[in-house]
Amino acid sequence: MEAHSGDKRGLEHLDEYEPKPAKHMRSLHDRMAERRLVVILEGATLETVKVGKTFELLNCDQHKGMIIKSGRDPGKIRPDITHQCLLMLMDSPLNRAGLLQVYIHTERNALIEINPQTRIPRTFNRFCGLMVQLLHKLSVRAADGPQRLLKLIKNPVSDHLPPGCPRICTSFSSGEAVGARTVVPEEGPAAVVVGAFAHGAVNVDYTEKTVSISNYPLSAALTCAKMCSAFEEVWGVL
Amino acid sequence: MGKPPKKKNLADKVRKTKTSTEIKNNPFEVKINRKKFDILGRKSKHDVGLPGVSRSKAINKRKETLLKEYKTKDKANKFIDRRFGEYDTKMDPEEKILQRFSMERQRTQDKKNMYNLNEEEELTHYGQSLSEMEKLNDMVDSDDDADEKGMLSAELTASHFGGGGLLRRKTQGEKDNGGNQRAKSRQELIEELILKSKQEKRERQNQKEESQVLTEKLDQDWKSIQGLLAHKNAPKADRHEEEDKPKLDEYDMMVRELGFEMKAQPSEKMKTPEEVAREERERLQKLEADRLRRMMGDAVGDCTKTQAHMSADDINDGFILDGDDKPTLAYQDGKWNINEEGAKIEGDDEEGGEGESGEEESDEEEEGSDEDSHSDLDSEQESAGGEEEEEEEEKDEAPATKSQLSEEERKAQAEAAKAELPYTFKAPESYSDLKGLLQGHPADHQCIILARTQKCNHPSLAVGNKLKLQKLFGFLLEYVGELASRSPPELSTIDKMIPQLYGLCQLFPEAASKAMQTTLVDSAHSMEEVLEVKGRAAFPQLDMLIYLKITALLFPTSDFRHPVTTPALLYISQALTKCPVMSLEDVTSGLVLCCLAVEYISFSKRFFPELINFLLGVLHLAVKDKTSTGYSVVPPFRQKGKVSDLLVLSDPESSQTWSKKTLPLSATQTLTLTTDLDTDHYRLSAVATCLDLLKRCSSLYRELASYSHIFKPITTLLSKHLPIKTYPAALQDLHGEILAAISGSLMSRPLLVFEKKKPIPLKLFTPKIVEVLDYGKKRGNTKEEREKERLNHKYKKEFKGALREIRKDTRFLAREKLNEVMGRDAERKRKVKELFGSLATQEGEWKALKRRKNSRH
Repeated sequence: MEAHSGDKRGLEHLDEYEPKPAKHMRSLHDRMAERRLVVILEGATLETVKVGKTFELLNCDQHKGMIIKSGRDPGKIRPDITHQCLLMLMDSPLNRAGLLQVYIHTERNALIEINPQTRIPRTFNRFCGLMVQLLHKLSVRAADGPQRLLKLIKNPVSDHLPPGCPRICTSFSSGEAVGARTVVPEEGPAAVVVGAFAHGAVNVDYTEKTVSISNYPLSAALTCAKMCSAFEEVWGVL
Repeated sequence: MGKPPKKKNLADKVRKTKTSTEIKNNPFEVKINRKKFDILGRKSKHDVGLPGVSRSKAINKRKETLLKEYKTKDKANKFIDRRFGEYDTKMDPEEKILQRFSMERQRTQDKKNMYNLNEEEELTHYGQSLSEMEKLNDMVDSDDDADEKGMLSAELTASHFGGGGLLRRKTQGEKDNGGNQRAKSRQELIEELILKSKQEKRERQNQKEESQVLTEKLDQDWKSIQGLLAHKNAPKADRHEEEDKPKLDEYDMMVRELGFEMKAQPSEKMKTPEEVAREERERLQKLEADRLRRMMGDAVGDCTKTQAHMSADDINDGFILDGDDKPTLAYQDGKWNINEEGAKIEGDDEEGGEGESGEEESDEEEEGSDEDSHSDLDSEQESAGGEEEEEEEEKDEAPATKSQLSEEERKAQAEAAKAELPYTFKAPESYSDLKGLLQGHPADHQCIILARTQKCNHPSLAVGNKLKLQKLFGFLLEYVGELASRSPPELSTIDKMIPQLYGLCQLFPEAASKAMQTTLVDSAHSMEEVLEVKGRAAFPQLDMLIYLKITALLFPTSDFRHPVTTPALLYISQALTKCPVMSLEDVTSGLVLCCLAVEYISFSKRFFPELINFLLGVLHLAVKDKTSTGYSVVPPFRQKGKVSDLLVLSDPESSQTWSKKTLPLSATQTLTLTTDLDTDHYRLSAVATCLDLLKRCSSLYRELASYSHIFKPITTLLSKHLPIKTYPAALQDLHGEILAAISGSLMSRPLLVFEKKKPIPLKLFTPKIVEVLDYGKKRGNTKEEREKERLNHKYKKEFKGALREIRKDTRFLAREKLNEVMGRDAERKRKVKELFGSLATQEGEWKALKRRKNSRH
C-alpha cells in the first residue's frame, strides 16, 4: 500500500476498499498459508459389499451375517459415525465461511478429499449410496455444477496438509483435558485428527501431539462439532 | 512314426498321474489371481487358475481334432467303420462283441431258407392285415348296438363323417359277408337313415307325453287330498281376520289422518341479539374494508363502473357509520362534536350551506333531524315523502290521536299550503321549466314538488323517465348554483334541495358524477383561463363552494382516485395556490376552501400541502412585524405588501369585547363592516377559525413521518411572531393546545446507515448420484445403443480369443511338423547307420576272408 500511495495521489479515498484477489487467482502457497482448519477423520469404515446384484456400503445393521461370516466384528463397522461427523463438519459456519477442509482416511487405506461445497446427504441410506459410488468411481461430481465434490486422492494424508501447521490428534485417553479453544492457533492453518470409529484410539504417525478436549469420552461427531465451534469462536466466525 | 516321442509334455504327465484334488491342493499347480478390490459378497469365477491342467487339456483337444485333420490332409479316401455299434460310446465293448456275434450267426442261418416261400409273411388289404380285420368284425357290430342309445347312430356317423370310401366299403364288405342283404345304393342308405332317426324321435316324444300325463294326474290326486288335510287350519284364520278388520280400519284411518294432517312449518329462527349484532358488525366491517381498499387505490383498474356504484355505498358508510365510529370522524360529525363541546367554531358556517342556513333561517327544525337527514338521506326522504302522502290521504277519514296533536296541527297548517300543490308533475324538459316549476314556492314546497316529480317519473313507470330524471339532476344542480349566486343567497333552500340531489344521485350515479364532473372541470378551466389572461384569479364564488360541498356529500372523498372528488380536490388546491388574498372576503373564502379540504381528507388523511401553506399564509396576515421571520410564505401570500396586514388588529383593546362568532357563509361575497371594532372582531374570528383548522390538521397528520417538519414553520410562526398576547383567552388556549400537540410529537430520527451485509456462505452443491454397476461403464443411453455396445464388446473379446487360439494352433502344428521331420531324420539316420553297419560287417567279413586267404597262401 505504501509503495503504491505515490501513484494514487488524489485517490486515497479509494484505499479503504481493497478488494481481495479472486480465489482462483491465489497461489497454492497463499491458500496453504491462510487461516483454515483441516479435519482428518481417521479409520472410517467405508467399504462396499455386494448383496445380490447391487453394491451397498458395509454396515453392521444390514450386513451383520455377512460380516460375522467373514470373521470380523460387526461392532467395528460403523459408517454412520463418519456420516454424523460429516454432517456436523460440513454444516458448521466454519465450513460455510470456507475455512474448513475435511479428509477421510478409511480403514482400507483409501483417502477421500471432500470439497467444502459438498452438501452431505441427510439420510444415512443416501450417504451409503454416495459412498459406494465414490469407492467405485473414485470421484463424485456435483449434480448442478462442474465441481468434483468427493474424490479419492493419493496417500499419505500428510502430503495434503498445509506445511508447518500444528497437527493435533484428539483422544480421550491422552491425559488431562484441555479446552478446545487452547489448541486453536491465532493465525495460520491447523490440522485436527478425529477417529471415526467406535472403539480404540487414533494411531497415526503424522501428528505432533495428542489432546483430550473433555473429561468425558465424546462421540466423534461431537468432537468435530466442538472443534469447529472452538475455531469459530477464536477466529470470529459467527 | 513308428516310435512315440520320448519326451512327453510335462503338463500332460502331471495331469495323467495325479488326481484333480491333488492338483488343486498343490500350491505349485495353482495360480491365484490377485483382486484389486476385495469386496465382501462378490463371487469371482477366475480367482484361482490351474495353468498346467488347462494347458494339457488344450493340447489334448488339439491332438484329437487338429492333428487328426492334419494327418488326413490331402487324402481323398476315407475309412468308415460300419461295424455294429462302432461309434456308439454307450455300449460296452463286450456287449458290442456279443451283438456282432449274434448278428453274424443270424446271417448265416438266414441263408438256409433261401428258397422258402413266404409262409410267415402276413397278407394285407389296404395296409391292414387280413387276419386282424377278421378279428375286428364282431367288434364293429357291438359298437353299432351301443351307439343306438346315443343321439347319433354309428351308421349315421359313418356315412356323414367317415366320408372316405374306406369305411363304407368295409361295412359293405361286412354285409356281404353276412350274405343275406343285397347291395344298396347311397340314396337308399340315406333314406333309411332318416327314417330311422325320425322314428326314434317320435318314440321319445310319446314317452315324454305319457310322463306328463301321469304327473298331472298325480297332481290332481294330491290336491284333493290336500283339501282334506288343510281344512283344519283354514277356517280359524278366516274368522280371526273378520274380527280384526274393522279395528284395523279405524286405526289405519287415524294413522292416515295424522300422516296427512298439516304440519306446522318451521319458521325462520329468531335471531338472538348477539347474532343481530354480529351480523351488523360483519356488514360494517365489510363496508369499512371496502372503503379502505378504495382509499389505498386498489380498485383503480375498474374505475368508472364500480366507483359509481360504490360511491353510494360509501356515503352510506361514511355517514351512517360515523354515528358510532368516533375515531374516524366525518366532517359532519366533527362539527357536531365541536358544537356539543361548545367550542363555537365558525367551521360550521363555512363548511357548507345547509348547516349554516339551518341556523340562519329560524331553527325551525332541530339540527339533529337535519343531521339525520344527511346520515340517512335516501331512506329518510322516502319515508318522509311517503308519510306525507299517506297523511294526506288519511286526513279526511282518520282523526289523529291526542299524542299526535301537535303534529296534527302542524300538518293542518301545512295542508293549507299544500292544498294548492298538484300531486303530479311533469318532469322538466329544460332548466327554465324547472325554474318555472319551483319559482314562487317556499323551500318546503319546492322540496315536495321535487319529490313528487321524482315519484311520478320513476324509471320503473315509463321508458323515458330515466333520461328525464337524469336531466333533472343537472337542472337541480344548476338551480342550486343559481340559488347560491342570488343575493342574499338562499342557503336554506339549497339545504332542502340536497336530499333530492342525493336521491337522484343514488338512482343515477353515473349521470350524477358526469354532471358534477362537468361543472368542476368547467370552473377549473375558466379559472385557468383567467389566470392566463390576468395572471391572477379571484376566489371561487359561493356557488362553486357549495358545489364542492355537495360533491363531498354525494361522493366518497376518501377514494384514492374518484372521477368526481379527485377533480374537486384539485380544484380546491388550484384555488388555494393561485388566488391572491386581497380582502377579508378572500380570507373567508380561503378558509371555507380549507374547511372543505379538511373535510375531503378527513378519512384518507392524505397530505395536502396547499392547505398547510394557506393556513400559514393566513396566520402570516395576522403577524405585525413582517421582518426577520423564521419561516417563509408561499405564493398566494407575500412576505410583505399592502394586503399583508389584513388580519392585524387595529386596536388591541377590541379583543376584550370579542366573543366567538361563526363566520357567515355569505361573507365570502359581500362583507359589510361598519366600525373598526366590528372589523377587528371579524379578524379575530378569522384567526380563531384558522387556528381551529390548524388544530384539526395537526391531529390528522399526526401519523405522518414528516409531521414535525411539515409543521415547523407554523410552530415558529405561532410561538414567535403571532401577537397572541393581544388576543382573547379562548384564542390563547387554542394556540397553546396546538403548540403542545406539535411539540409533543417531535422526535429525533435515526441516521440513515447502510444495512450491514451478511457474509455470503459458500454455495452448496448436491452430489450427483449415478448407478453403480458391477464393472465397466454403462455406455449409451437408449436400449439399442447399449445392446450395440454390448455386442461390440463381445465381438472384440471373441475376436481376440479366436486370434489367440489360431496362434496356438499354428504353434501346435509347427511343433508337430517339426516332430515329424525330426522323426523322419532320425529314422533315416538310423537306417543309414544300419546300412553302414551291415556294409562294414560285410567289408570286415570280406577282409577277414581275404586275410585268411592271404595267410593261407
